[in-house]
Amino acid sequence: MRGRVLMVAPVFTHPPIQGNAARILAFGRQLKQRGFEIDLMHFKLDGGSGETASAMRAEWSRVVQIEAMPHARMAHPAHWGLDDWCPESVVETVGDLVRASYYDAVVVNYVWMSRVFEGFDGPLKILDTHDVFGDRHRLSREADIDPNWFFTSIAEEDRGFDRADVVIAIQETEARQIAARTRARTIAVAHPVPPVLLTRADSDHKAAVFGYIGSANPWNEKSLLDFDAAVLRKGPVDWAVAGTICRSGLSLASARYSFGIVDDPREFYRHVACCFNPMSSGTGLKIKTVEAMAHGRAIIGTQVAFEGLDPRHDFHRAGTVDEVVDAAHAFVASEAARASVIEESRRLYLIYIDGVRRQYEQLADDIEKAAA
Amino acid sequence: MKDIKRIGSPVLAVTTPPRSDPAAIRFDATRLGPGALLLTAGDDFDADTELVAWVEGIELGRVRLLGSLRVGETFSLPCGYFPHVALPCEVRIGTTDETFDVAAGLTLHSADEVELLVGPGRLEDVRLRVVNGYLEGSADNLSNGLGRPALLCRVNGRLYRAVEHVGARRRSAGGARLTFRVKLEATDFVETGIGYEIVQMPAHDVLAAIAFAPGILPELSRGVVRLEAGLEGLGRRLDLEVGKLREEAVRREREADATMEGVLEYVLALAHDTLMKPADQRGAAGAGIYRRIVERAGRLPEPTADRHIRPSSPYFIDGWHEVEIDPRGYDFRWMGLRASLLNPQPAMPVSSLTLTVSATAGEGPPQITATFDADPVRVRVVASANGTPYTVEIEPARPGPATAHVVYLGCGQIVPLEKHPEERRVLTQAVMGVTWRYRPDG
Repeated sequence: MRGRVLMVAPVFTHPPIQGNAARILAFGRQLKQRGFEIDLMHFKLDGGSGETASAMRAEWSRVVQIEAMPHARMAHPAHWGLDDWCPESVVETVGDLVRASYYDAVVVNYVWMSRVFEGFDGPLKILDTHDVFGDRHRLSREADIDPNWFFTSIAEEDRGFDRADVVIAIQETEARQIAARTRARTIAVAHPVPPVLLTRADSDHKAAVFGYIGSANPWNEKSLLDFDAAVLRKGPVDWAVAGTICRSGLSLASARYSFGIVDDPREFYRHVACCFNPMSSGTGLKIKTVEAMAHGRAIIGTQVAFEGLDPRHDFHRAGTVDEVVDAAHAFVASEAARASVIEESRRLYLIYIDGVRRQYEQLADDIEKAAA
Repeated sequence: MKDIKRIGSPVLAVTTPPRSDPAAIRFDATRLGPGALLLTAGDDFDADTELVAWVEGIELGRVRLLGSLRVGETFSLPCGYFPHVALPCEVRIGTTDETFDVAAGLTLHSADEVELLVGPGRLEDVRLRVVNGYLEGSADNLSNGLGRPALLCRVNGRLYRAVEHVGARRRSAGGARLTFRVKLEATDFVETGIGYEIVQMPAHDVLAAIAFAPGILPELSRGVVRLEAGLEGLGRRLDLEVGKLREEAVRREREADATMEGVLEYVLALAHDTLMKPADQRGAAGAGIYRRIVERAGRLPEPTADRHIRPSSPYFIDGWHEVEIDPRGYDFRWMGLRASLLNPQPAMPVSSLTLTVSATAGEGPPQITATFDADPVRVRVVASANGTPYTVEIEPARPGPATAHVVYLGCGQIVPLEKHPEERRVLTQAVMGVTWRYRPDG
């Protein structure tokens, strides 16, 4: 064993049906593969069932669960205070856990859980940000989306960054932004998505030419509604939708088929020829973009959808959702366009996954050095 | 509000930055008003800033506050939007720096309170489909995510049917997507086909329509609808019939009670008269009593085409709180900001509608606005000798009887929420009963 790490997560890791759950699971597995033993402290803000807990116990060396508690009253009239979602009892429980065991590092997920760092000293304090939440409400308003979930001010978020020794951004662009705002060491550690394209046979029978899989969050809903409107405006696109977004009751006039929630995303990817990500604003890494490429799918998307990936193909740098629809039409019309975007999607994925491997190697070395 | 200039509206973009220190601003109380939050200054202060109202970080409205306020003065902050959030929720007031509250938070407990603030909202992007014997619909309410505008379904251009709100979900781009449904009846299929229109009250705006020509619907689906309607509609009609029978039974029981009380009264009078009069005059006294009993019986209500509707009736279709019983044992029902009543006999010309109002939430007599369908009416309020109950007479604006499928009632006064701070509902008038009067001869 190379060392012991405690992961503190406010969401379950099994089943990984949400982007954040998939991130935490993959993060832990990457450290396990590099010789670390991983314990999990799960603050059950998201509920979760007995089945969820037993799957997590099979995955991690030790699982401690804390029952959910209501959030504190919003500390500010227009946004959350940094610690409104992290009660003192969680801080105490993690502190007790750290003092009772030996950990080389404690990885806290989300800046709004950074209060946990106040409860102990000793292990390397690593904050996995997942996303940036400072002024997220203002970004939402600019995108005509009602702010939801967690959002705070830049100053509050900076206070959370400063509690950590190492702050992890999920992509390079955000790492540079965060580094300018905190005294903590900031690195990018992206999300590893296994190369399913190497092991999974494609299907000859497609449900639709294009596919979109996503969770039910306002950013996804907004981008899909915008895409739907653009298709109605610019001409038909043969597309299907999958994921928890199918539960949001969106009326999507142009979608041909709804897969609903799929147990195994590989089944969705096998049955579409090309994916699209029409997101016009937002933060973080667009995991669905990488996931599509990992499944060997060509993908079309906006610049926002490819942020942090350094794309080169025009189909990966659409300026607007209308341009995404134009690209979809071109994909259908031109064999050359199909071939080029498939090739470029695979190249981009290989560069990405190699970069992620290096990032986890570096992180593992950092934890080991801190413990030495 | 002297010395204060209120500039703009919730959508105003202010380009000059505020100059005053937000920390100097202090409002002690926040109240609901129609279309605005009413803030009472807790101190004297000068201000040049922008006030903003939020719920869960979502902006409801903003306004520029420029000038001086003295303690106790009121300033209004207009609000034009409310999101789909869980109730109760807290409205917070601050300035554009978003860091601290400048006024007491206001907790809202009901959708009625929200409606008082931003109105019911208007439905857009209405979509209809026929599923399993129901006309199912969905629509966006972009300005009030908790609003449920009063809807009716007009069947084949004549009959009105209640629309059942099924649910609502938050829209990412603001407001809510509502779902509703209307039960289809086998009798909706007429020789010209079927037509359904969803109508928003009180303006009778047709939001959406769906129609089928005869022969388009396969016989099978018609049969399924008929069967479902037959089963479920039978139950509902039975409920209605039982309700009508119960109303009739209560009415007759009360008449019988009144008659019996009269009989007892005169029997006692007979005994008194008989005992107090000399023996040779007792026979004549008995004849007088008999005559008086007959006279009293003659004053019993004549059978008419009028329909008295009790508060528990299904004809109270929208905007009414649950039925309550007053200390004297009478049923009544509080009306919210708006309400509607179905006409139990829409085919008969209406000469008037009378509401018996036992109490009002505000001061003085009830102030009610009304329409018969979309047609204007005359509203006259008559107080009884001791003030309540009030009788609200509603008659067609034009002479002579009128047709009405539904009467829409509105509250014509500001609702004083602070009068009963413990009351979580928005209340306007307590209605004990409604009487429809018809002219069978037209």
